[in-house]
Amino acid sequence: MLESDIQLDEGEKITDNTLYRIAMVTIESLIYRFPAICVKLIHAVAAKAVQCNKLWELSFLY
Amino acid sequence: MKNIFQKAANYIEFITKFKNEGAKEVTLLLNKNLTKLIMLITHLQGMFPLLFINSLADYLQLIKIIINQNLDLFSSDIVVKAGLWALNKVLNAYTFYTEPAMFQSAPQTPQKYKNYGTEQQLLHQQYKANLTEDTIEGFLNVFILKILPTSKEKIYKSDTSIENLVESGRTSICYITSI
Repeated sequence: MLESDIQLDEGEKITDNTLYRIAMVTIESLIYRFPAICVKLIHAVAAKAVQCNKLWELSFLY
Repeated sequence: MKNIFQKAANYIEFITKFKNEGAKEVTLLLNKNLTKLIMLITHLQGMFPLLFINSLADYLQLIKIIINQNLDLFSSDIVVKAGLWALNKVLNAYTFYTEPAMFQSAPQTPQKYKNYGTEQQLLHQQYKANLTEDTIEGFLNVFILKILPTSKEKIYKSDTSIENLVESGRTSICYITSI
C-alpha cells in the first residue's frame, strides 16, 4: 500500500499523501508487530490525546 | 553503507546549522536531498533486507532521529514522510528480522534466504536492540503530540464532523484514511 501511495514525483516530492495517513499506517504497523507493547501503551496514548483535547486523534483507537 | 549513513548524518547536521542561521532556501534544498537519500536507502532495504548486516542499527537510529525531530527540525514534511515510510518498510520486513527460529520456519521466508542464518541473527540482534519498548513509546508520543496534529486540517476538509465519525462508528483506519 505504502509503496504505491508514496512515490517520488520527478524525484522531488512525495505526492498525494498527508502526513496523517502515513502516520496512521505506521501506528497500525507498530500495533501489528508489537501488540504486547502497544496494548500496554495504548492507554497512555489515549491519555495523551485527551490531554491534547483533540477527540479526532482518538478515533483510531475505536 | 556506512558512507551513505554518514552522508545522511551530515545532511541533518547542516540542516540544524542552517536552520539556526535562518537560511531557508539552503535548508529546503538540504531537506530535499535528505529525503532522496532516505528514499534510496528505503528502496535498498526493501529490495535486499539482509543487506544491512552491519548497518541496520545505524538505519534505525536515523529513522528515530527523523521521527523524533520531525517538524521541529525539518522545514518540509517530506522528510518526516520518508522517515515514516522507512520505518514501515522495516516493520514490513519483520520476517527477516524476527527470532532466528521463526525466520527459518516462517513460510514467508524465501528458501534461498534460509541459508543466511548467521546474517539474519546479526540483523535480529540489531532490530531487537533498537526497537525497544521505550523507542516504540517514543514513536507513539511523537505521533500523538506532534505529527498527527499537523495534518488535522487536511483530514477533515470535508463536511464530515468528528461527532458524526464517532456516532456512526466509522472510525476504522480504512475509513479515516479514505477521506
